[in-house]
Amino acid sequence: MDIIVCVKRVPMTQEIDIEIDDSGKDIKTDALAYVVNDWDNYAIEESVLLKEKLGGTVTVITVGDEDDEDVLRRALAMGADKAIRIEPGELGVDGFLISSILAQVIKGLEYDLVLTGVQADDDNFGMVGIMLAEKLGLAHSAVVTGFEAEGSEATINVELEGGLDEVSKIKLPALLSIQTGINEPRYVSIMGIRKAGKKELNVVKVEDIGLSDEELVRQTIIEEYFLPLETEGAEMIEGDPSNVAEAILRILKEKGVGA
Amino acid sequence: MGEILVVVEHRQGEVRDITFEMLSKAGELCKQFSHTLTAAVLGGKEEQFIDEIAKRSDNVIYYEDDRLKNFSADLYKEILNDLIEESRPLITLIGHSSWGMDLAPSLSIKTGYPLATDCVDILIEDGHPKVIRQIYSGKVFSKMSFKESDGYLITVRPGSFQPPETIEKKNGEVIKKDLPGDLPEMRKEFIEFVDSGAGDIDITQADLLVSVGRGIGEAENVEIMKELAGRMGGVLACSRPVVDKNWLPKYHQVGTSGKSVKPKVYLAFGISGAFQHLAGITGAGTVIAINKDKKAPIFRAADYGVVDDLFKVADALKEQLKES
Amino acid sequence: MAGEKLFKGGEFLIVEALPEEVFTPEDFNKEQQMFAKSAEEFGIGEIAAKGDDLVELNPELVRSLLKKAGDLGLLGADMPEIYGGSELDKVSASLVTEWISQGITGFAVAYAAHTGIGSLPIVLFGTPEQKKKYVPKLASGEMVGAFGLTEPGHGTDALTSDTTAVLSEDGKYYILNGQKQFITNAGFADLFITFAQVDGEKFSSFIIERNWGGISFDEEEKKMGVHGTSTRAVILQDVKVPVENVLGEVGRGHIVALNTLSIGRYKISPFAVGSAKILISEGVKYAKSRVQFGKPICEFGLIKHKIAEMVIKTYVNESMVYRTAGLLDMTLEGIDPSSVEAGEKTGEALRKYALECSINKVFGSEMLDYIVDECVQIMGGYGYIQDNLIESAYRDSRINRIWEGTNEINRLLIVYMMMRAARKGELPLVEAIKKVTGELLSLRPHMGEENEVLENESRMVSMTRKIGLIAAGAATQKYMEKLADQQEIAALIADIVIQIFAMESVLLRTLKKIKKDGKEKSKIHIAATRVYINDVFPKIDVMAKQIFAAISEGEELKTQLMALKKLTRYTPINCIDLRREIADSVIPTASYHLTKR
Repeated sequence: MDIIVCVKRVPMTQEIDIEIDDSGKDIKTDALAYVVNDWDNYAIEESVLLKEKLGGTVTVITVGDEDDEDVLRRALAMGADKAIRIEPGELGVDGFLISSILAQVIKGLEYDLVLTGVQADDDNFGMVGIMLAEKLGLAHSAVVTGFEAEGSEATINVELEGGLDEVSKIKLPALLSIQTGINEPRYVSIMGIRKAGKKELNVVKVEDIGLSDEELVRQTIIEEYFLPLETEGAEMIEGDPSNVAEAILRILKEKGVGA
Repeated sequence: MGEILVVVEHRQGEVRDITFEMLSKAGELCKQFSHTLTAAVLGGKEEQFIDEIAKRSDNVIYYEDDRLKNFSADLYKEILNDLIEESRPLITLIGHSSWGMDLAPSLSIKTGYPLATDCVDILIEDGHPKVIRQIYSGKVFSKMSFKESDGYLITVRPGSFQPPETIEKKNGEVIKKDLPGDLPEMRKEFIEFVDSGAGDIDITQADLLVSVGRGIGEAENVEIMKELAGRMGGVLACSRPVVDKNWLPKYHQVGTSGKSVKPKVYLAFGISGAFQHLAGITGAGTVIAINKDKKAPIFRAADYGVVDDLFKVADALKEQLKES
Repeated sequence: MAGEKLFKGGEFLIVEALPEEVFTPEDFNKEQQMFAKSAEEFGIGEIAAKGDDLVELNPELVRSLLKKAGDLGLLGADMPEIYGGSELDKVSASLVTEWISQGITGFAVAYAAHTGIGSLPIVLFGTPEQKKKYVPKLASGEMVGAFGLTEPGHGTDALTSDTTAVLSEDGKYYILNGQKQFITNAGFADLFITFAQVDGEKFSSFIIERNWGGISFDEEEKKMGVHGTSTRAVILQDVKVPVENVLGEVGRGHIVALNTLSIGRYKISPFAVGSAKILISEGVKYAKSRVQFGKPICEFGLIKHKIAEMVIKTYVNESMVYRTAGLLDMTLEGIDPSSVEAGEKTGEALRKYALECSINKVFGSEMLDYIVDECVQIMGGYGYIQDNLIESAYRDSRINRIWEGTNEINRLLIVYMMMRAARKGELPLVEAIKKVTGELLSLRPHMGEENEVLENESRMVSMTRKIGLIAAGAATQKYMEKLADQQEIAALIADIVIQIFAMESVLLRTLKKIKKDGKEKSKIHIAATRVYINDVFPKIDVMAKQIFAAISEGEELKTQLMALKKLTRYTPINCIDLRREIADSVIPTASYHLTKR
C-alpha cells in the first residue's frame, strides 16, 4: 500500500505567552520552539504501521522552507521512505493555496492512500486535507480514528460527537484526515535517524510545479491578530496549596456537593 | 438583498444543537442586513423536524430521499453545489463538526467559494463577510476576510452562538426539491453507529466531577486522582489527551467527542481548556480550574482558578479530607 | 565542519582562535539536531513524565527506562556499532546527555554512570572478547554498568588501592579482597569496573559481575541529594575473577582510570547545560506567576538580574561544551571504531584534551550550583519547601563539585597538565610566555569606540590570555615543577585558565553566529557575551594581583603590577541594561531560546 502523508511543522505554544508582532498579522516567533504537528504525527505513525503490515512505500510531503525539513526528516526516521518539500519562497499561503500546491504535486505520484492530520496546532483550520481530496478527486473522510484495509476498500471509524462513532466502508484510493489517539506514535530512534540520512528528500520550488500566477493566490486574508482580553475569566484563588484546598472544599460545601 | 444559507445538521432523526445556533446567528445577520434566511435540509423521508426548522427560517429547502438519511459528503456536496449555483447565497453556514469538516472543504473546492472554518463570530462589513477565529490553542484571535467572490462558506464552532430561550418565530415556507439527476456514486458507505462512550460509569449523572488532563503526566497518577475523586464524593472524568494515551477509557472523556456534562461542580486538574473540552462543560454549574499555566484558556471559562501544581493542590485536598 | 581547526589540548592558552575555527551549537547539522530531539522527546515522554517516581530510589523503574533508552539507541552513544552501540560523534553524544534526562537526577546519574564510567573502560580498553561479551548488553540496557574506584581510604588519592588481587595457584583467577565506597548504581548494576593492587603494587583494573560469589553490598547511603540514585559500598570477599576479565594490562590500571575519568568529567558539563535550561524555565515560570506589590516578580530588577545571569552562564557553558566536543570529534576522526586498536587510540586521543575536560567539569558544576541557588532564591520561601523540583535540584547539584574528581583536584590538574604539556614539548608555553613578556613594554591596549562588534571584548580576552601567561610564567619560574604544591597559587592560575577558555569560547561562538545570522538576530547573544566578559575581566585583575603578591616582592612586584595595570585597563559598560534586555527576551516564553531548537 503506497501512502502519502502531508505534514506540517508548528510552534509549541503551551505554557508560553504569545505576543503579536509589529505587523499585527502574525505572532512573534524568535523565541519559539518547533515540533511536528501532533495530528500529523499520528498520521505518520499510522502510515508506517500500515507499511509494516502490508508493504509499500510512505512518502511525506510538506509546503515549507528549509527549517520545515525537520518534520520530514523526523518522519523518515520513523519509517517513511521518501520526502518532498515544496518551497513556497515569498508566497503567502493559506489552507486553500496549500491544498492547491499539494494537489499539483501529488497528482503526479502513485498512491493508494493519502493521510493528513485533522487540523494543525497553529491555525486550527482543519481544511487542507479535505480540500486536497476534492482537488485530487478522491473519496474522503475527516476525523478518522480507525482504519482496516480490505483490498480496494477500507473500513474506517469516524469519530463523531458525544462519544458516538460512525463505521463506514470507503473506496480506495482515498484521503483521510487522521484524529489523535488512533495509535501510539513511536519515539524516533538513533537507528531511524541514521537510516533517514540515506533516504530521498527532494525539494521542488512552487514556481516550478506548473501552477499559474492566478492559481497561486490565497482565498482568505488575515486582517489582524489580537489577544483575548485578560479581564474576562475566573476569580483566582490565591495562597498556598492548603489555602487553596480549603477554599475549594468551601465552594463544594456551598454548592451542596461532595462527601 | 442577499441570502444566508444554513445547512441543517441532523442525526438519527434529531436536529443537532449547532443547527439552532447557526440559525440564530444567521437570523441576526439577516435582520441586520435585510437578507433572506434559507435552511437546507438534506434528509430522509418524512423527517420530523422540518417544522422546527421552518419556525426559524424564511425558507426551508428540503431534499427528501432516504439516501440522504445519513450524512454523505459525496451526495451532500453535489446537491448543495447545485443549490448554491442556482441561488448564489452570500454566506453558507455549516457546522464545524466531524461531518462539517468533511463537507465544507470539499464543497468549497466544488463551488469555488472561499471557506473559513471553525469561526466563533461572523460580521458583515461593507457587504463583505468577515470572521473571527481562535488560533494557537485559543490563545490568539484572528480576524479574517475573503478574496472577492459571489459567495462564501463558513463553518461555525459549536457553542459560539447561543440561541435565545424564546425565539422570534418565523414562518418559513417549506419547498421540497428534487435531487439532481446525475448524482455521483457514494464512495463512502455508512455501515453503523457505535457508542464508544459507553461504559461502566456514566459521568453525565454526577454532581461532582474531578477531571484530569494532560498535566497528570502518567497513568499511575490517574489512579491517585481517582482515589481523590472518590474521597471527595465525586466521579473521575478526563479530557481527550488522557484517553488518547490510554490512561482512561473513553467513557470518562468530557468534550465534543466525549460527553457533555452538567455537574454542580466541575474540578479541572491540569486541563488546558481546548475549546473541544470546554464545549463539554457549558452546562456545568461551577467550574474550578487548577493549572500551572496562567495563560491556559480554561481560566477564561472557569468560575474559579488556581495557578499552581495540580499535585500540590490534590495532596492538600487529600490532607484536609483526612482530617475532617 | 569546514574551517575548523584541530587545536591541540591547551593550545587555546597560546593561540587566538578565529570564529570559523571552532565548533559551535550553530554548526549542528540536521542529524545532530535530530539526535538531540530524539533524546528530548524520550526524556519528556518517559523520564520527566515519571519524575515523581524517580525522586526516591526505584531500581526497577530505572532499569526499565535504561532498557527503553537502549531500544532507541540512546544508551550506546559512545559504543561502537559492531558491538551494538550507536557510535555517535561526541557532539551528538553530548547532545543526548544534555537532553535525555530533563533534569531528573534519578535517571541522569544512573544513565551517566552506566554509559560513561560503567561502560567506557571496556569500550576503550577491553579485548575483542571482552567487548563482544559485554558491550552489546550494555548498549541495549540488558546489563547495567558501574565503576568501582573509590575506597574508604582512597578518594582523591585514587590511583593506589587497599584492595588486593592475588593470582590463584592454577593461574586461572585473581582473588580480590577489599571494599569500594560510594559506588553509583551499586544497588542494581550487573557489572562493575573495579580496581585492585596485584602483588601489592601493580594497580590493575578488572571487570566483575554481580552474581559472582563474594560480592556483597552495604545499605544504601542516605545522601543529601540525588535520592533517586543507588549509592552503596561494595564489599569484595575472595571474589574469583577469571584472568580473562583483567581490563587492560596488569599494573596499568591507572590508564583505565584516568582516561575514563576524563570523559566522565567532561560529560558533567552538557548535563549541567541541559539541567540549567530546564531550571531556568521553572524559575522564570514561577517569577511570572508570583505576584507581589501588584506585579509579577519577574518585573523587578533584582529578579531580572538573576534570570539574565542564569541565561548568560548557560550560554557560556554551552559554548564551551560544544567547542570541546568539536575538538574531540576532529581528533577521533581518523580512528576506525571497529578496529582492535580503536579503544586505545581513542583513549589516547581523548587524553590530549584532559585539560579542556577538567575545565568543563569545574565550570559546569559551578554553573549549575549557581542556577539552583538562584532558582531557590527566586522562589523564596517556596524554594525552601520540600516536594519541589527546585528544592531537590538544589540538593542534587552539590555533589557535582565533589565527584568525578573534586573541583579542587581538577583545578590542580589543569595546572599540572599545562605544565606537563609544556615540559613534553607538546605546548610551546615557555615561548609564548617569553613573547608576551617581551611585548609588554610596547603594548598599548586601547579600549574605546568599537569599529567592529565585540571588538572591546575581543581585546579583553586577548589581555586575559596575556595576563594568564605572565602569571603562569612567573609562578613557574619561582616554583618550577613544585608549582602544583603551591595549591593556592595553582588554583588561581587555573581560574584564569578556565576563564580564558570560557570567555574565548563564548566570544567566538557569538562572532560566528553574527556572521551566520546577522547582528539583529544575535542581539541577545551579543548582550550575553558582553556582560559575561565585562563582568569577569576585572576579576582577572584581582586574581593576578593575588598571584603576583604571593610570589614577588619589591621591584619585581612593582613591575608586575604596572604591567597588570596596563593590561587590565577597560571602560565599564552598562551591564544592568544589558541584563534587563536578556531577561526580557526570555520571560515571555520562559525558556532558554539562545540556541535554536
